[in-house]
Formats: sequence, structure tokens, C-alpha cells
Amino acid sequence: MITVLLIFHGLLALFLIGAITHQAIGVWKSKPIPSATFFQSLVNVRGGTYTNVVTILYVMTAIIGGIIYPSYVLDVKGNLADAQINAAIGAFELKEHFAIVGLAMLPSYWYLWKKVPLTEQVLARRLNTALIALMVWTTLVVGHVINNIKGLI
Amino acid sequence: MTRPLPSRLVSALTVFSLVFPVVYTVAYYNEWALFWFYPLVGELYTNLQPPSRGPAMIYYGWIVLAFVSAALAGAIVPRRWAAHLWVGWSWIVPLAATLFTLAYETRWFQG
Repeated sequence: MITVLLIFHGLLALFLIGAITHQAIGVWKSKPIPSATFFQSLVNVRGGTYTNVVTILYVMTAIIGGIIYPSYVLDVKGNLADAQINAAIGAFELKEHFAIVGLAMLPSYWYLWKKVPLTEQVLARRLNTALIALMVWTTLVVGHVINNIKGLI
Repeated sequence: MTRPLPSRLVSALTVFSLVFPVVYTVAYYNEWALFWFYPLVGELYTNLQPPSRGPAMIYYGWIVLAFVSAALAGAIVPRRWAAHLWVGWSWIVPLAATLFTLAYETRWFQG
């Protein structure tokens, strides 16, 4: 059951990183541009349409992460400590803190995207989105690396 | 797109988003929590238990403490105060919490 949840957690995180990365890149666009190239198309996404999906995916990923967290404590953390891989333990500490700070940002993030006109509070919207993207990237990469390390020890 | 939310809800959510990271960061730095969870036995305790109960998890205790504090703050802070909050705090406070966390957790990467 835990393995199924871990895989589901990882898949949701992949969807989430795709959505928030699109939005975090697109929000920095300051004027209309053509979509002639791959990067231009990437930048041209309508960021607002990602907001509900990002919010729901973030909450679902965090909830499942919270459910499987005891398995990390019981089955992984002790092995990392025994192997003296302190950097991996520290990286997971960062992951858990970042994940929860990002979760707490969701109300303001959602409000800025959905209830404030897109021409207003532009900097706040950009930085909220960028910070959440940073949280998501950090947590996904760390989780992936820890999972790989667990397979090696 | 711009249909307004009830202003009471907006102010509560704003305060919640600002208070949560602060309380969470202070709680984990000081190891303050409402409870500890012992996953080996699947039980919650309000104080630390002997090692025979297995490893203790404080993470849920921090989250619940921060959630309750932020929800209470959102409920009791007057709307007129929340209305004067600068929108920049919505990223400055989490960024500060993030930078503090990065600095604090470097202890794991030394030596």
C-alpha cells in the first residue's frame, strides 16, 4: 500500500512540477510575443488557467506525502543515519519544511491569480509563483534522490 | 475572474498565509509542538516517550500548531487591520522563512 501511495505521490508531483513550471515561466512575460519557437510557446501559456490545478495537485501531493511520511521515518531515516549520510537527512528536512511553507502560501497565491486583475500586483504574483515553483522543484528532486539512495543502501 | 470574495474571508486567508510560516519556523526551531507521533506504535503523546516506543515524529505537531495558530489569527485579526497589510508580505514572509530554514539546516551538511 505504501509503495502504491509513494508512486502516486511521485506522479502527482510530476504533474505539479509541470504545471507550476509553466506558470512560473509564463508569469514573467511582460508583453505579447509570438509563439514561433518552443520557448516562446512555453512562455505564452495562460498562467491563470493553471492556478486551480496547481492548488489541488499541491494539496493532494502534500496530503499523500504526509501519509507516507511515517514510513520514511521508520524505514529510511534510520538507514541513512546508520550509513552516516547526514546530507540526505538534511535534504529531507529541507523538503519537509519547504513543502509546508509552500502549502501555507497557497491561499495568497490563489487569491493573487484568481481574484486580483492580472494587471495589478504583478510583482507579488510573480514572486509568489516563483517561490512555490522553488518549493516544488526542491521537494521533488530531494524526494527522488532519497528514493534512489534508499534503493542503494 | 475578479469577482470579489467576502472581505472577511480574504482578510482571514491573508493573515493565515502570513502567520503560518512564522509560527511553523519558530516551532521547529524551538522544537515546540502540540504532540509527538510515534509511528512504530501509531500513537500520539503530548510529551516525549522512552526509546522503546520507537522514533518520535514531531512534524505533524509543528504543522497542527502552526495551522491552529494561523487559523486563530485569521479569525481574530480585525478586517481593517488585515486590509492595511502590504501585499509584498505574501512573498517576503515565506522567503524569509525559507532563507532561515536554509541557514539553519546547513548543520546537516557540515563535516
